[in-house]
Amino acid sequence: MNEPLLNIKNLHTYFLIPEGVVRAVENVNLKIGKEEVLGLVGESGCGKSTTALSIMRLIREPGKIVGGEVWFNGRDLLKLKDKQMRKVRGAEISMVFQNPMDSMNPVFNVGSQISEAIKLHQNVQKREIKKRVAEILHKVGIPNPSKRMKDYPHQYSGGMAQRAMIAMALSCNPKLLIADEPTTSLDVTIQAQILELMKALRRDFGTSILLIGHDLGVISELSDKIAVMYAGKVVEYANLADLFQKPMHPYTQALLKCLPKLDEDMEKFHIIRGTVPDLINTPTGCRYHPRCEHAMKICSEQEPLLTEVKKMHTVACHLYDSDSDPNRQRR
Amino acid sequence: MNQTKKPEEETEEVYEKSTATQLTTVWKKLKASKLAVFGGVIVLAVILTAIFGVYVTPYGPNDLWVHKQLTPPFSEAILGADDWGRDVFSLLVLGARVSLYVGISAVLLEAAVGLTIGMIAGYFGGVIDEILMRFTDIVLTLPTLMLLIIAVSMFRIRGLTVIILVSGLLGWPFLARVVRSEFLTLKESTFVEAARSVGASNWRIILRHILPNTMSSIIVLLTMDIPWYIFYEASLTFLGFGDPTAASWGILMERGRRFLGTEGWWIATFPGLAILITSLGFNLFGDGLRDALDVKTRAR
Amino acid sequence: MTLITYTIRRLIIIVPTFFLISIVIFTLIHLAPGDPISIMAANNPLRLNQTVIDKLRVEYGLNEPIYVQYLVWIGKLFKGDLGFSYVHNKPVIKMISIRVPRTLELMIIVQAVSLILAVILGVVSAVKQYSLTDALAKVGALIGYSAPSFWLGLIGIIVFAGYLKWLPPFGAQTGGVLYPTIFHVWFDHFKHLLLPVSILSFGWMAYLLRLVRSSMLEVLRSDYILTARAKGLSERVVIYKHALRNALLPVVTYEGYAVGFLLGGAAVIESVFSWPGLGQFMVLAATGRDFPTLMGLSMIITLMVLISNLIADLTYGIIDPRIRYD
Repeated sequence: MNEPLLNIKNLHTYFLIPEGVVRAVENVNLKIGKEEVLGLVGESGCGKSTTALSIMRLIREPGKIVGGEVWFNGRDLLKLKDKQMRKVRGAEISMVFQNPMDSMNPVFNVGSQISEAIKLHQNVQKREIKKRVAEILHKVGIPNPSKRMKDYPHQYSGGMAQRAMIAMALSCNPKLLIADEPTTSLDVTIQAQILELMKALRRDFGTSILLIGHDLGVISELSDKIAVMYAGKVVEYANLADLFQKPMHPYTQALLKCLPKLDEDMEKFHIIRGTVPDLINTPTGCRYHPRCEHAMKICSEQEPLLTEVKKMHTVACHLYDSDSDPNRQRR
Repeated sequence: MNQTKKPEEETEEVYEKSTATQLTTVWKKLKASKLAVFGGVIVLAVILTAIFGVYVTPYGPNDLWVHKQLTPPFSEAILGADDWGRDVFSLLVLGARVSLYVGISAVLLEAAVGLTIGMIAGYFGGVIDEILMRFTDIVLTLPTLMLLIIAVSMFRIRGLTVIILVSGLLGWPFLARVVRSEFLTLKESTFVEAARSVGASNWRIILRHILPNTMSSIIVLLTMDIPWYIFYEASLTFLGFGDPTAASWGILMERGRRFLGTEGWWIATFPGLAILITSLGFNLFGDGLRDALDVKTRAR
Repeated sequence: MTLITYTIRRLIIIVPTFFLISIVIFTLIHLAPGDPISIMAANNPLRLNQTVIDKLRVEYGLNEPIYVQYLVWIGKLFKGDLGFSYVHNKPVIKMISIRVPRTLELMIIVQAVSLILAVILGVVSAVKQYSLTDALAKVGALIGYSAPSFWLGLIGIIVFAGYLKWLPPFGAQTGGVLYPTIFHVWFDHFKHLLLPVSILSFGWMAYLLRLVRSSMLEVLRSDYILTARAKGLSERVVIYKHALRNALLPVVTYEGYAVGFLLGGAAVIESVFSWPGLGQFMVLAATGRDFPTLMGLSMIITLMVLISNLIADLTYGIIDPRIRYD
């Protein structure tokens, strides 16, 4: 059965602030299969982190999940009671964040923070826990784990700390790991190491990964499939190869053009003119149309829906509308 | 097509934010907080009383026996009379001037010392920083009121100068630490690097470039220190170390200390209330100012 | 660096600090116009006649250069001789030792009450922002922080002692009364304690509450709190285990200053309530220009302040590993 592990349907997450309603995540649909890596790409503020936090139901006031379903392992997470959801967090779905040094409590040693998760979710003897912690630290590549687990977060380097965070996340063998910009704040060389680590761990543990980031280059190292988000909406979703070879959405195309290539002569950097739209007063119709080179009249009137244009390749763009519409005129 | 702007225009709009806009934002945020406005009104009232009170009061501190001894309040004497027949209301109004004078003078002294030490320690760092900070730590631990009591008992001149000097010279460490940490952070900024690259001297950088950026925290801190100095002055005069003929709120309370029953409770109660309201005003305003100057909160 | 090294470091700083402060006190006292002995004599003509004055001059070495005087004084200090009060005709140390427990009990009770209340209210206030409790706590804290303590003391006396006649207006114990049992003694003492403790606590608690609340709010915004929640920990564990310990760090630092601050407050409150403690003693000595007492008393107070700072620093070192493992 090719039932996806995670199936997000029509997710809407809004922030209610005095200035208005921020429609941070609008009608998002995503799927992740078993042992699959989905890369979620987009600029800052496009809603990818909010989507991740929505899955974990970690959205707090003034944010609110106002609609949709998040199916995981046969259950709609959004309908679970708090107590049930807490059992999911850390045990079935885990999360790793951007700033590893800030993401660990400075007053507790690293080992105790990892064992906290194990103690909470698994029925393990005290002696066993220490062994497990050392084991998992070893697996993520931390040298001398029995000694280092007694150290405090500030005694770890950035790369080590991120490894420790990954260890914490994997300590209870979750089925899904959400990694929100895990390498963004690290040096490039460390970035590569962490990505290699995640590749290896995915192989060994069989975990699915939702990898979030803004750097297409980094994301593509690890992903099987990629979803591109813009201004709170998913605009394209395809296999890695398809996305890179035949990007369909103008935004994706522009993003790819922005990646500097070593094998081409580039006179100047390609930029996408304009800025990310205000999420309170979103543009009418397609949210990307003000910046789009191919915008048509219909783009400012109607929101395009995510449609599967080719096998395993969905896109939300009027360029691919099937009917010959009289509104499809160049503006 | 007219709902959307050209992409270039949008880009520029997002990045421009002049000083005028920033000040307007602060003012808007300040006005929006009811508590801050309330505090500000009180502060303004106290300042006005201090400046113009002299012209409004019917009597002065040396006008004895203008009422019958211990006249109760809400009668011919608005706030009552003390045991020397002096009008409490007039004394109260005049007391505002004393308190404000002490508060502002001491705060200025605190600012002078605290800023200097903080700037030097934060900017130059190294050994200078270490020494200055050790010194600051020591002064910080000194119990202010105790030293004030000793100091005022030393000097025969019973006056406010001693109080202002000693409390100001003991109150600067906190400011110095705040200034120092801001300077430590800001000296690594790019604008400092830029200034240095065009040849600006250290002191020019300190005074013209870094200091203006720290003004918001400094002003908030100084505003909220004023009530402390008013409190110190009132405490000392209350304990008997002040000039008994002067019109200070503390002195009034000292006189009223003996009258805590049904006769004369007003002598001590009203000046204390005045101190409470004044402190409340400065604290509320200071809190509001801090929130308004905080770039992370939005204008409503 | 381990905890021991940290402790030694702090101790090493205390010694020069103590000496520095003694120099400051000494200088202040001797800065007074006229020499201290004549001032004392002017204030207490009955006790100090010429013979005594001359004896004092020799004893304190006032005919010697000032640094010798200082050394003489410091030397006596370390031998336990805090001076002799010619105003009261008793050694200073004897008078202080009676009063120390009275002030200590005030301070310990006040600190305990304030700390507990401030932490409870501060946490609730931060966790349930914008609730009624939060609003009340903020208002209460603001008033406690702005109200002059001695005024509250006077109001307390007017209302509770004068008008309602529920509590005694002064002293630590009602004298000249026969107490049937020790519990009656304690109960009477308790009644005397109530007003001064309440007023001092109100002020200090207000100060701490603001701190706890803002510290807690900041901590709750941290990344590691998000991690804790993402691990599936219950909100209670997140708040009381992960957040609170970090939020209390600045509180520990401030508690270090508590003794200095509270001693000042105690001086005033003890005067208002005629509470027989060190604070009131200090005010009396200052009013009477009793310099030997003032000097001795100041050094004792300095010692108390320094020790409490040390305890606060050590506690901070225990709670925050970042200080220890530098």
